[in-house]
Amino acid sequence: MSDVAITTPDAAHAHSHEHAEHIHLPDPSLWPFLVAMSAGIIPVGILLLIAEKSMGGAVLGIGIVFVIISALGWCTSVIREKPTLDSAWANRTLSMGWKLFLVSEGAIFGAFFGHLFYIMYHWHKGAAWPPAGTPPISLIIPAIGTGLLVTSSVTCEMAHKFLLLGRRGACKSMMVLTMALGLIFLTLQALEWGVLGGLNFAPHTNIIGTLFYLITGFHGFHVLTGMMFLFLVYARLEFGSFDRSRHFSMNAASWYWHFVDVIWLLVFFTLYVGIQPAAH
Amino acid sequence: MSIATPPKEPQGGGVIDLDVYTPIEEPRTKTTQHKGILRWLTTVDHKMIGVMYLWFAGFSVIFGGALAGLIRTQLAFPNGIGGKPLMTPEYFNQFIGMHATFMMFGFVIPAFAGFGNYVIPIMIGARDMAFPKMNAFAFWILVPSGLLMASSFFFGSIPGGWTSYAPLSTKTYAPNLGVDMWIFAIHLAGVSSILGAINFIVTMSNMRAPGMKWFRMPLFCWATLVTSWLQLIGTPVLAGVVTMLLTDRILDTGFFNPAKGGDPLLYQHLFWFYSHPAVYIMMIPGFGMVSQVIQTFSGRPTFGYKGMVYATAFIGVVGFLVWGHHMFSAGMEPWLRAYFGFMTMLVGVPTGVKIFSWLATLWGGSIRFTTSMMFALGFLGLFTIGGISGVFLANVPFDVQVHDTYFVVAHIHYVMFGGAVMTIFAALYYWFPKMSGRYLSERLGKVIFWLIFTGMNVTFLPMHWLGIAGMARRIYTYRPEFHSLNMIVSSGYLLMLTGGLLLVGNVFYTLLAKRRTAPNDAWGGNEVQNTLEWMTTSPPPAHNFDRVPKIVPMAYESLHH
Repeated sequence: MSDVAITTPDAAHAHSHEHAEHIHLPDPSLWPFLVAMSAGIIPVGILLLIAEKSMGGAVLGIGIVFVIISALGWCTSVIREKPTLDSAWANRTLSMGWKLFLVSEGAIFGAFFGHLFYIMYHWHKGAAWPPAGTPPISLIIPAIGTGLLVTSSVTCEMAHKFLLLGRRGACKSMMVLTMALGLIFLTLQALEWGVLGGLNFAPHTNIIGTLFYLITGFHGFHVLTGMMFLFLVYARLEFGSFDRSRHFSMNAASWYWHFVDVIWLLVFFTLYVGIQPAAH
Repeated sequence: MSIATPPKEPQGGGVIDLDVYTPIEEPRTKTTQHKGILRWLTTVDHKMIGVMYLWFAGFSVIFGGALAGLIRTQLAFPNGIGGKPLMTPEYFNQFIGMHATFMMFGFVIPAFAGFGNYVIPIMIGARDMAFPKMNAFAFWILVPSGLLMASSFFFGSIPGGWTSYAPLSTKTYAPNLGVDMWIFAIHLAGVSSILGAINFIVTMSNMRAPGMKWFRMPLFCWATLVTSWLQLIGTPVLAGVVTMLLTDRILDTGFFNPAKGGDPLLYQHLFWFYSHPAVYIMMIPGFGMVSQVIQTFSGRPTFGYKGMVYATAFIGVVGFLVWGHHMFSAGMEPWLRAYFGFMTMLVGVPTGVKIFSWLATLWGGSIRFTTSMMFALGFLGLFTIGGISGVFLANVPFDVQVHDTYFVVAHIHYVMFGGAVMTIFAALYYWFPKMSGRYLSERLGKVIFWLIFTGMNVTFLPMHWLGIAGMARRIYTYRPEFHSLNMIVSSGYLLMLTGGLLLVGNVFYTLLAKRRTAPNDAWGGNEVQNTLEWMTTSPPPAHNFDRVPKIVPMAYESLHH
């Protein structure tokens, strides 16, 4: 969650006259402007790469670096102003915003899954399934991956519970475990990609290649994002800026992680199971 | 605390306790404010962001309107002037595609976001949006989006119309960089849309002033809430489908390539899964704004407030279930055609509820024919025509007959221009005094209204006949017998152009030359609808209200529910 600046609704103060003079408004900030403009550099870089211009990579790199710097600046400014807020209200608002963001993430995956289901449903009767060029894709590696991610969801939840119990050390070890499981998952995924790539199975091979690499790749990108998010939370735990009532980014990171997990279950049970050769 | 005026009945019943509000001498805001341009770049104030959205929409509509002028010039002289062709067919195709893209993603959606940003936090008694910085970001990300979109002209932009159907937009038929630029511009605009939607939903859920229950919110708030849900669920699908198009183009993937087992038809399905709800995204906030305008200037609260709310929500839900009616001629199983046709006609029911509620609000009211009200009434008539031709198009046999003809162009413009754009003009005249403290000229406003209203009908009404006679859309020329009607259509554009230029002139003149004279309740008679934006100064201070308003229920509120 990059944006946690909130205006208080002053609901708590509405009846008390002594507070009438004090109105908290968020301070102006240049960060949103800077992040937006830097984000605008990224597509320019990609477009230059598409046009095979030599400076494309440099522009893309500059864009990404600018986005990261300005986003960090934004986060820092937010963390600094946060204590002025009513924390229960802030948590409720942030939670809602974050959940809505996950809904929109789900909708992006929805577009890809919709594509997959449509292709599976409309596949010509009698034509070979999966289409020619698709190597046999073993269920063993993704099944192990499923186990890893489900376990990591549990450890992530345990980390959260330990924080609520005030057991910081246990919380931190659980978080490390979660991140490690995520890392093993990604390694397995990379291994699988490598094996399949060796069998000349690529995104441009056929529609299954396209869907397979794009969906698992997009999901893997989310696993990576989730790990970075967990790492940032871990860093904040290390610096001790959380307590039992104020740990929204912990909640957010764990929801994100569960979300990634649920998406993976869909990937496993529709994509992997769906592209197995027909039984007959 | 003194009571400024007697308690009155707000939107859905209940009383706004006015002891919480006192007029403000000077802002008591404690934040540091920058000066000059930096003040706009750093602002997180929902009102300033709303105004910036409106400026963005203003530039886009001028740009999109100029493109429309080029299109109409070509169609007035399809064989060129003096034997010299005016433009190549490729340019013509780019112009129609970019006209649509700019009008929708650059004008209508940002204009609604602008009004929503400005008015909604005030209407619900909040100091700002829930995420003020994200709000600023959602606006600023539109700027690179618009720049990418505009500069794609230098790279051939989108040759296949605004829908960019595969395979017209795949590498085979559109190898130019402009399509990629368009895709990224859509991505950035999508980010803006999604973040804006999250912000509106959270703001209305968590920032309402004490006593501002859900069913006391003004109808514009409800409209924006429903729209935000559509944006939240629909926009990511659009982002997904253009991403697939992008990978098809640059990584040679097979999403829309039948040779690889993909299906170009799927582009249409996914595209319309967003773009049909997008029609409601571009319509429902307009419904809400018109509701505010009509009740102010007819002096009666909206007839059937709750019915209006449910009708809006129903349109939002059904809006996701009707996308296939854009694809009747693209190949679809017969039962699906029947389903989509039926669902599409079903949308007519809640829309009818809204139309009749507005008419019932007008009935017996003491109507004031301000410019704003005239645009709202113009909307009522024109949108009804657009809605009825929509019911025509929901019938599969008829739709197959007129698919990709000017009948569809006429329909979309009666809905989008007669609908969305008229409501934006109504809202501009309505809230301009609140935003600036100055009134736009009413006398000139009426001239502008009649120019635009007449021009709109002269332009788009003959398109129905052209379409039924078989004139194809997206083609730079036509059969000779269509020429006279096309001349009439193009002359209608000149009327609208005159109206539009007068409006631009009026806005600049008013902003620069006139003094702030608007009182809090700029139009008077706010005791009827009792919305909060008319209870603070014009323009409001940075913190909107000195004290957070408290909305207390009326003794007999249960009678209303």
